[in-house]
Amino acid sequence: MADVSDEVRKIISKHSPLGHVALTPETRLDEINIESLDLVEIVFEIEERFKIQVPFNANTESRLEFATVGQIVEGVRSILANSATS
Amino acid sequence: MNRVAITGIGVVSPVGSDLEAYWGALVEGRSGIGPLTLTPTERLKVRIAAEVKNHVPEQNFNARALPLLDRFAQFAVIAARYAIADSGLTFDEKLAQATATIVGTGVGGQHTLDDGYNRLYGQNAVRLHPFTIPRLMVNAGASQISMDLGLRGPAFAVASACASGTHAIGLAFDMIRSGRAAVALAGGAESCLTVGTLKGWEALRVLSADTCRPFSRNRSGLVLGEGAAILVLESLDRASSRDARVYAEVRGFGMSADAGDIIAPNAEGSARAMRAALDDAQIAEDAIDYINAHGSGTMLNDSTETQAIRAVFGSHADRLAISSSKAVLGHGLGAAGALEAAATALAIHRHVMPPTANFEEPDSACDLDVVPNIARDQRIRCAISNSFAFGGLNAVLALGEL
Repeated sequence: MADVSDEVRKIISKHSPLGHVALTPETRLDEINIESLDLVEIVFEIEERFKIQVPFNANTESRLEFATVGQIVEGVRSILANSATS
Repeated sequence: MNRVAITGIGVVSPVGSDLEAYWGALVEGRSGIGPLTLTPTERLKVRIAAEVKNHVPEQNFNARALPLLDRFAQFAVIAARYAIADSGLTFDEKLAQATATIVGTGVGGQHTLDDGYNRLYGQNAVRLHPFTIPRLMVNAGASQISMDLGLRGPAFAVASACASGTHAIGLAFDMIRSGRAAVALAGGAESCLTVGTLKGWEALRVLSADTCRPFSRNRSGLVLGEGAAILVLESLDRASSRDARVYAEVRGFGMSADAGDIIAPNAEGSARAMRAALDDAQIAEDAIDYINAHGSGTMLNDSTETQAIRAVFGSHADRLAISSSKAVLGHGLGAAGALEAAATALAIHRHVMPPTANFEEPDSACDLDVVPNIARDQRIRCAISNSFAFGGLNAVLALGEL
């Protein structure tokens, strides 16, 4: 499988109105003008791409765990690792 | 210009379809939210909803009528029958032709659509029932009410998602005020707790997994509901001449579009609709004692609505009370604004502010008097009922005591 980080960054950058921007793990989604509905779409595309379920609700603390590019990449890695071992 | 009176209310709701049961639950903060039973849940993450319970279609419709009625249209017709009975109005041919029927709905006959698609794509059915189209059309509620009650004046549906019921009542208010109609039945109806619709809502990730807690710091999203409410509107002159009981006067109506985000609410757009309602009613900010809030229980709505109320009312925002009925009713979508307008009219008539139920923790982003959990006996001179819809469409009704 292609690198998770590359794939996730590709999905995220597609949704930034700033166009192609350099994304580091520390890049905050709000810095690149990604709004709440964009994030919902990003999570959807990640779920489709990796065939996983991401527990994300725009109204709970989970939204705070999706503030940076690195957090999302780590979240996806951890879900993939859990589904590989289960 | 006629003054406009609310003289009848009919509801079909998750907390009962009798007006006293409805009001009792709102005042006592008894929530109609519970396990989802209307639809199989094995493919769903969402497991709760505010369902209309104990609805037996056969008790309300004969075998000839029923095949033409989606659940949402059944609710619309039943609420309209209750509203007319409650108003005491009788119709001769002349009045029937001067009576408008305006019903808001977000999505129309979703049960029919979902069942039809399931048959077609899931079970490879060769054909659909011939009444599929007349059942699912968005205007089915308005049409079925007009047919059931013999109302022959202007009739149509209004769609603005979660503000549909409010827009419908606002348009009816305009028609009575201007004299275009003598009487109007107006409100909203919705029933879309189907697998297809619920999957769509799940994908938006705004649904709560436990319950609806408007304005609480630990609120966790909205809970879908269903139901209908129909109000009877007529000129105050007509109401007085027949000695009708008047719940409240509709004083004004305001609308706006955010023209911004399709989902996220916008304080400026919400505030413009509230101001427009006050201007239309020609009432000062400090005459508003109560606001029945949109209060959907999402993080963003409740804080944005608080900002909008502060922007409109200034220092008076700390003297008025607001509450959300959605902890009790869930989010009835196209029916919500009508159910809440009914609640607001009853609050004015009975001098009671219904509470925001399920309230647990104050939130500094929602720092208004939200009447937590306990109803308050208090005279309400004027009130507004807010509806802020997906699509950025806002509608606000201003009601007042007589």
